[in-house]
Amino acid sequence: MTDPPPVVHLIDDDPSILRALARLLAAAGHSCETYDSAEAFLGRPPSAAPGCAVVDLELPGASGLDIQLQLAERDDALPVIFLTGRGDIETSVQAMKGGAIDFLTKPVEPDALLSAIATALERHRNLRRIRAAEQDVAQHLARLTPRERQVLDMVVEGRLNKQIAFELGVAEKTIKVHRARVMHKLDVRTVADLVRLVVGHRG
Amino acid sequence: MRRLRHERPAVLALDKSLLNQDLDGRSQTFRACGPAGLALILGLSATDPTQAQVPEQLRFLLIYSAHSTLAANAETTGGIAAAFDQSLGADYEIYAEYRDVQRFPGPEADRAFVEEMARKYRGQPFNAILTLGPWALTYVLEHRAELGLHVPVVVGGVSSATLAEIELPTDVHGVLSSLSVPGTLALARSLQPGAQRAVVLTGSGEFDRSWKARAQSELADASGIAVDYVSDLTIEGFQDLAAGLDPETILIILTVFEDAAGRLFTPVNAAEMITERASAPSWSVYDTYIGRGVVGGEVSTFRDLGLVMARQALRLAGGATDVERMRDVPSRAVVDWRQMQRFGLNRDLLPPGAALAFYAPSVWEQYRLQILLASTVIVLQAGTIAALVVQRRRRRTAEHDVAARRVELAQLSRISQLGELSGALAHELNQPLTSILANAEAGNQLITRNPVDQGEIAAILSDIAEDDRRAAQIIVELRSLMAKGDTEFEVLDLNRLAEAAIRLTQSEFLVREVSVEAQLARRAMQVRANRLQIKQVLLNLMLNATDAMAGQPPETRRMTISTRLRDDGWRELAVRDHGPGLDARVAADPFRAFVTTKPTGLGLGLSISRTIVSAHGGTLVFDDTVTDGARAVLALPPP
Repeated sequence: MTDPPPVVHLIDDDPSILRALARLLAAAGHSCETYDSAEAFLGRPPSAAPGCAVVDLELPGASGLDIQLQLAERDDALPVIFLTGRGDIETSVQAMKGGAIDFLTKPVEPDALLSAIATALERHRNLRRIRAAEQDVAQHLARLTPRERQVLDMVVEGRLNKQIAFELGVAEKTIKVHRARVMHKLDVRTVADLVRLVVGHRG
Repeated sequence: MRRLRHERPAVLALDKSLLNQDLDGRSQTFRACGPAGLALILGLSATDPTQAQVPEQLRFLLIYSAHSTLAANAETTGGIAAAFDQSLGADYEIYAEYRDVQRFPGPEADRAFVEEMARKYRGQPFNAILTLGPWALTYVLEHRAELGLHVPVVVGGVSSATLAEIELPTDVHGVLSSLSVPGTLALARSLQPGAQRAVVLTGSGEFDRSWKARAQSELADASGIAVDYVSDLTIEGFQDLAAGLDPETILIILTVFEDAAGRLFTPVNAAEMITERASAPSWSVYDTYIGRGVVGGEVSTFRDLGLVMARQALRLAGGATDVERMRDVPSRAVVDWRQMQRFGLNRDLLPPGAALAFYAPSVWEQYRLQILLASTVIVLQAGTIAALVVQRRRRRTAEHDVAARRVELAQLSRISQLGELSGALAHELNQPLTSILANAEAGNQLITRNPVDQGEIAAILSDIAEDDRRAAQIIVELRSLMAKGDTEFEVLDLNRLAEAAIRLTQSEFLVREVSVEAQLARRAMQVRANRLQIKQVLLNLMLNATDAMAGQPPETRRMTISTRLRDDGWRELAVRDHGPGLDARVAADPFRAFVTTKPTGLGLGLSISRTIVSAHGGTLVFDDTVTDGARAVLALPPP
C-alpha cells in the first residue's frame, strides 16, 4: 500500500506570508495548500493524503490552538507546527502539551521550518502506519468466534492447551482445533507472532 | 330615535358572579348557551324572588317640542341626566323623542310623529314620561293612552299661564321656571349700590304688556328706589333711551316681541340691540339674555329645570304619593363677567352663591399653577446654577491638587501601554520579516535550478521589496506615536523630575525590595524638556536597574540616582545599580531596538529612551568605567 504524496497545509491570515512560505516549501519539494483562516482549513474536504499543518498562532476568529484541538479529535490527526509573532511561554507550553511538533517564532528560519515539517511528516506517516496495522488486526480479530476469542486470550496469557480445556470444560483436542483456526484467521505461524500481534494491538 | 343607553355595571357584575357560581343545572345550561342563555337568566331573575336585590332598571321617555340641538333642550337633557346619574348611578335608560314644530309645523308632521311614536312605544314599559314645551304636553295628554302608557308625566318648559288653562290629570305634574323681577332688581341693587332709579323696559306686544303688568305688581313694594316703566317705544327709541341713561341707573329689560312701530323681534335679539347702546348696566329675568349684553339677573336655568323635572319623575316612579302638582325651578343670580367689567362693577359686591358667567380670569388667576411651576423651576435652576458654580470652583481647586498626580498616572499607563504596544509592534514587524526571509530562501533555492524561473524570481523580489516597505511603514508609525502630543517643551528642574520619578516608583521598589538613594545636586538643574518624555526615560532607566538586580539578595539591591552640573554646563542624571552589569549580548549596543536580556521584554525601552533624549538634544549612554553594576547617564544641554 503506497500513500499519496504528503501535503503541507499553511494557515495564516497574512497573504504575503502564505505566498512566501508556499514558495519556500515548493522550492524544498513539498506540495502545499494555503488557507487564510482556521475556519477555511477545518472546513476543507477530507483528504486521504498524509501531511502536516503549519499554523499561525494569532489567527483572527478561531485560533491556532483551536485548530490543534479540532484536529486531535479527528482520527487521522495531522501534526501541527505553530508559528507565532510573539511567543509567550504559556501559549507555547499549551501548544506543546497539545502535541505540537514545534513552536517557531517569526521570522522563522527556513531550515528550522523545513526540518520541523520533515519531522511532522515522518510522524504522521508512522502514525498512519500504526493506525493501518491496528485496523488490520482489528479486522482479523473481528473474524474470530467468541469461543476462538476466549481461547486466544488464554493462549496469550500463556496457558497450556490442557489448562484451557479444563477451564472451558472441553476436550483438549477441541482446543487444538480452535487454536489452529485462530492462527489461520490471524495469519500467524507461531505463538510468538500471535502474542506480539495481540499485545501490540492492545497498545 | 335618539336613544341614550347607559352602561349597567351593577348588573354586569352580577352576571359575572353568576358565571362564576357552580350552582345548579340552570347556570350550567346558561354557560353552555352563551348570550341567549344570559338573556334567559336575566329574565328569570326579574321574577325570581331570591334575586330581588337586582335593581330594577328605570326607563324614562322624554318628549321635546323642538329639535334636539336647541340649546334649551340640550341643557334640560343635561340636567335630567345629571339628576338620574346622581340617584340611579348608571342604572337607567332614557328614550328621547323630538318633535321639531318650529321647522316642520302642521298636522301632517304631527300625525307622522304620533304614528311613529305609537309604532315604537306601544306596550313598552316606562316608569315616567317627561315633556318639554307646550306641544309635547298636548301630545301626551291626547295620545299617551294609545301607547298604553299609564304612567306619571312631568311637564316642563310651559308657562304657568298655559298650565292654568289646561285641566291637568292628577298624574301630570308641572315644573315651572321662575322669572323673578324682584330677585333681578335685588341683584342689580347689590352690584349697583348707588342706584337711585330703575327703568323697566317692555315692548308693545301682548306678551310684553303682560310682563309690564306683572312687573308693576311684583315691584310695587320696592323701597329705596324709584322704578320707571318704559314701553311703547320703537327699537331705536329704546336704544336712545338706554344710551342716555345715567350710568348709576338700573336698566331691566323684560321682553320686546314687538316695538311701537309694529316690528317683531325675538326678545333676546331686541335686548341685545338695546344693551349694545346702553350707558347703564342692564338686567333681565331670562337666562338666555345673559351673554348677549345684559349684566345678569335672577334667573332659572334650563339645566336646573331638567334637574327638578327629573327629581319629580324619580319620586313619581318610586310610587311617592305626596308629589306636588306644581314645582318652581329655583332661581339664582347669574352675572356676565365681561359686562361687569364693561361697567366697572365690583366683583366683591356679588351676593354669595351668584354664578359668574364668561369669567375670564386674570393671567395670574388663569395660570397660577403654571406661573408657580415656572417660578419654582427658575428658582431651582438658579439654585442649581449657583451650586454648580460653587462646585466648579471647588473642583478647580481640587483639580489643581490632582493635576500632578493625574500626570503621573498618565505616565504610568503610558509606560504599560508602550509595553503592550511593543508586543503588537513586534508582531507587525515579524510578519513582513517572516515573508522576506522565506522569500529570500525560496529565491536562493530557485536560482540553483535549471532553467531559472525568472518570472517567479521577479515575483519573489517584488514581494520582498513590498514587505520591506511594510516594515518601514510600521517604524514610521512607531515614531509618530511617540511624538504624538508630546511636542510641548518647558523649562524644568531635573532634580524635581527625579524626585517625582522616585515617588512614583516607591511602592514598586518596596515590593521589589530595592533601596533607592537620591544624590541630587543642591542647585536647580534647569533643562528645556518635555516633562512626560523625560520622566518616561527616567522611569525606564530605574525599572531596568530594578530588573537587573532582581536575581540577587534583597540587601544588595541598591540603586542610586544622582544629578550633577557638568563643567560644560550640561545637566547630568545618572541611574546606578549594583547588579551584574550589562550582559555581553547587549553590551555592544544596548540601545538597539529589540535587543533584550529579559525573558518577557522586547528590548524597546532603551531604544525609545535614546530616541527621546536625542530629540531633546541630549545623550544617553552607559558609563563603561563602572565595573560593579551598571550606570546609565542622561545628559541634557542647558535651556
